Amino acid sequence: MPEHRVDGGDELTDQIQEGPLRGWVRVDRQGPSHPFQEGLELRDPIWKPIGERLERTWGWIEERAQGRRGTACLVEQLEPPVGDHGGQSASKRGGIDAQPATEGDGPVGVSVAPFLELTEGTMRYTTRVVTIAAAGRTRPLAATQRHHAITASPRLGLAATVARPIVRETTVAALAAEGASRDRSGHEPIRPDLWPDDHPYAHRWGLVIDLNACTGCSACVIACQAENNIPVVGRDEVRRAREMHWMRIDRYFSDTGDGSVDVVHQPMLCQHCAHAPCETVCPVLATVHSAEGLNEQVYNRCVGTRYCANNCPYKVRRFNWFTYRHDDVRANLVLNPDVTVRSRGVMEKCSLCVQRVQEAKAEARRLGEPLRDGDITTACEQSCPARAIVFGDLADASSRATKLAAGGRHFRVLEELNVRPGVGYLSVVRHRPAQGDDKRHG
Amino acid sequence: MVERVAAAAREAPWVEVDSLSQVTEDICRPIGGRPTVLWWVGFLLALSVLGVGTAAIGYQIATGIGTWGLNRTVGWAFDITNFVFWIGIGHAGTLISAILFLLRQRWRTSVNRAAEAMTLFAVMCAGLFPLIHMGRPWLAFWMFPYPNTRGSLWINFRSPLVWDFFAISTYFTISLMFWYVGLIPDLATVRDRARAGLGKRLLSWFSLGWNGSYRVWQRYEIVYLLLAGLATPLVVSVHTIVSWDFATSVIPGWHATIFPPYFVAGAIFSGMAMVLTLMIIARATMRLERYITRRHVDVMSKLVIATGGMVALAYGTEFFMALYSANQYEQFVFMNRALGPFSWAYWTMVSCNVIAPQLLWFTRVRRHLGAVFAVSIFVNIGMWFERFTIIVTSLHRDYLPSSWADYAPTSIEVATLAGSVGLFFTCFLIFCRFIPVIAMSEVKGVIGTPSAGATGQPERPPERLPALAGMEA
Amino acid sequence: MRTLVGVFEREEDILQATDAARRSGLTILDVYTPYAVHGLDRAMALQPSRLPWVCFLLGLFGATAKVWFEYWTTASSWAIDVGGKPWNSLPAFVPVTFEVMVLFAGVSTVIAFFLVAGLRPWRKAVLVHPRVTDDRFVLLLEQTDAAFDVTQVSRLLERHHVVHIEEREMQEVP
Repeated sequence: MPEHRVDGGDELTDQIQEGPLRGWVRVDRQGPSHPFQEGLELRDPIWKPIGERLERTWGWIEERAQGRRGTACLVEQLEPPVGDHGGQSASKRGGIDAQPATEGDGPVGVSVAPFLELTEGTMRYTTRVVTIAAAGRTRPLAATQRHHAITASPRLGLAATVARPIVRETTVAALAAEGASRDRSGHEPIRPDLWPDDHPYAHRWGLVIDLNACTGCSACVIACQAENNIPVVGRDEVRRAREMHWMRIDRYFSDTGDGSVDVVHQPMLCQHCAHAPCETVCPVLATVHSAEGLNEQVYNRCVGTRYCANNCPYKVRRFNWFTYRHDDVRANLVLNPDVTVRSRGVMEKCSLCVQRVQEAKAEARRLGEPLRDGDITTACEQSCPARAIVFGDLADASSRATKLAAGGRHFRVLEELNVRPGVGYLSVVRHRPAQGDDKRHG
Repeated sequence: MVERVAAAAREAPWVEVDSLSQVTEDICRPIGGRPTVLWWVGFLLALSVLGVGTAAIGYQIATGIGTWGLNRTVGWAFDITNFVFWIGIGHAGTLISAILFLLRQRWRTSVNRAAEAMTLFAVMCAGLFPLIHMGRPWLAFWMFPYPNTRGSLWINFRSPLVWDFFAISTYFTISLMFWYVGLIPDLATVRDRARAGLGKRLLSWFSLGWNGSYRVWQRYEIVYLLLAGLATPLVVSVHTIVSWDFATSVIPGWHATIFPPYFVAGAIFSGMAMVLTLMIIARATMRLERYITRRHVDVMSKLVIATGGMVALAYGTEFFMALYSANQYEQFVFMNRALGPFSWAYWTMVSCNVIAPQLLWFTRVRRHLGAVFAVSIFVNIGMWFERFTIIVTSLHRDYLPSSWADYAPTSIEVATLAGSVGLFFTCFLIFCRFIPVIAMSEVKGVIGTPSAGATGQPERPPERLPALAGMEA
Repeated sequence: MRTLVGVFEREEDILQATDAARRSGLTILDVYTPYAVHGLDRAMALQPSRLPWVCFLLGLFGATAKVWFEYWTTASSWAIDVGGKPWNSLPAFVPVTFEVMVLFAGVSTVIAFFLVAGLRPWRKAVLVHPRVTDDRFVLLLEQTDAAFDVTQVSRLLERHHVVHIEEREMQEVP
């Protein structure tokens, strides 16, 4: 087998040699892309499928992949190493589990067991030498977030070239200075109002999400999906940007200037705005604001005009484009009986686990006790290993969420729109000096 | 009366006919007999396209909105583009019928019936789309506030879609009544020429026993004036309300106060172009060249230039406001429109709406019917792309880049658009077949009573009786 | 009743003939024209119509009723917090109110017109002349009493270029 080393820093452009292969290899890429062609700025040193034309940027490859024919390299078969781990018959020489990954039912993926080695009790994954070659086929890839530069060309000198203030980062030093002076300037927006704010709230349920703690592990996304019976739509629909996740993790990258990349993971979900743009435009009152600060979606009333989704600046609303199948009786056992399964043509979105809120309130009433902070946990809060998500009553001065919201790191996304979100974020704190905003992109 | 006849003598006649009966004859001729081959070709073509569209819509309603190309970011595309496009086309008909009536433009009588029919069919096509774009269209009746056992749960009067619902239904009702009231005397004329049979019975039914009595004419004229006076603010208000679907949202590129006048001007612009398209075909195929003359085409082309200029000004204003606003989201939207993945739609829109109509400044072009026809087609295409650009480019890249997405139409959406065009032309061709295309009584009213052999000039001057000196026309 | 039918070919003639007939004290039952000849209402001394009042008053009623209904459903019957908007969202109520005003005004005017003018789908049209919907103008005079001199009236009409005169017996005015 021809040899080729694969490790960090290699440009693989000129080094494709013969021999079939299946597997993941590491890719480095260079150079920012033009902002109006979707360019990936990611310098993530993680395993990714590679493309035929390796001299292109990664972003180009993924851009070509999203929604159009991708140029990912698919390997036809796996060749086991020469000294294979006993028991492999000659008939398997051509490949282990040599069926290509199929779409639909059936085994997906391929076993890479022959490439692994168990040495002194640890599993070693990088023992083999592999070659890479283009398979001559293309396969479209699916991704829920494409990569774009936030800024336009700075040469234009316009406001549009300034990075969007969606995530905030600060440094330890700056935070200490800020804390000392209790100066939150830059975080307090101007809040003009045309009418008096006279809608009283018994409670005001909200979330505070600590971006510093969030690792982007996506446990919250999956927990939300399980709790709320969110359908799995499949790769083809995800390629058409129709994923149904109520919660998503947005990634924002910035150059550190020394060849590395900083990432901020921002879980994005319905912000439960007090001045929700979605509520005003629903013709049939399918989305309204509860007296406890929740933006409610009434599935039975929704006729599916999708105006609410268009008007949401955070784009957190999800529409049921088809009837997602729930006719498998056994598969239906995973459904949460406390949550409706939505029909075709109905809009859905994060409800701050209103079923859990109602359950806790009913329980408190039954026991004759007042509702305490911590009685209610949303699915995302419950599943977060870093405890980055905090649910609480923002109208209760003693709740943990309110205390976090009053802190120096607290901010809201797109606050200048005056939609008054009920979800707040705590900015990221780094040891390094903060990067210039013009270097951020996501 | 004297002044009126004198005025008619001063202004060259718009319609070149010799007598009132010639008007009746020319306009009723296509109705009575067998339809021409050309009509059959057009009708069958339109009907088959309509059939394709109906199948597409049926499939989409049965299977889901997912059969379109929409996604979590771009929630509206072809559906609402088509809706605004067709409503816009309808507005020119009402302009010609109502506004030009109030402005006493005599040339309108040759085209107002067909233009108003165009409005009705365009509004029907438009009304189709809010219905089928819903995820659950069988519950569309929930848009109407009826008392119910759910509380009563009413509707959200703050929502622009509710305003749309009331505006479009009012517009359709008033346009239908306006068109029908204007049609009654002509239906009587056709009835009185018809041979006994089903046709004559239907005409009797719909002409409501009209017999030319002036006691009825007097009230008729008043009702016509009142309806014209009501329809005029309706034109402005309906498309303003449609523009508020976008202007009241928070999305950059939609949230613009220029939208009401911009949309109304654009509606009249696109509608005038459609009227020109239809009239140039109709005058040739139905041999109505004496009624829809080159002068009519000339005047309508001038309206196209005028409203096209307003639209071009609106494009420039939008762009300038975005630049001047220092709002980064707004600026990005405009840069994205011109340079991003949908720039091809944007530049189609600009070339069709701003550049192509400039040809109409030249008299030679305005008098050449083929050139005017071509420009009108370009304007229709450009105005469709204008709505597409506004809707899709603003939606697909808004505030948070993480949710930016692309959009591409599916064959179902294209078939639905084609189906709406098929519906429009099917209805229009049926209209041409069975109903007088030109308002005979109104044309007769503006030509007076020419003597045989002359064109519009009375043979002898009216007798100046002393009693007439104080009479007004 | 006995009537005299005068048929004219031109609008100037019918206008002047009608005016002359009215000034001569003749009873004009009606005038039939293929289009609305301006000035005939003065010549016939018709009462101005009250349809504009119907239009205005019913439009006003429609607007008032609608704005009340909107306020009642939004702020009183079941007040729901929608986007934090105030309970009394009067500016938002304006578009629908305006449209319903126009709808009420227009529909009521047309219905009133049909009722007052006697236009009904089942009404059989009685034409005083077969070409009255085409290109003839007809003046219908009543022969009120014995003093009605057909010859004198005919001469009056001939002064205005009448093309056909006929005496006719009819039960009611068409």
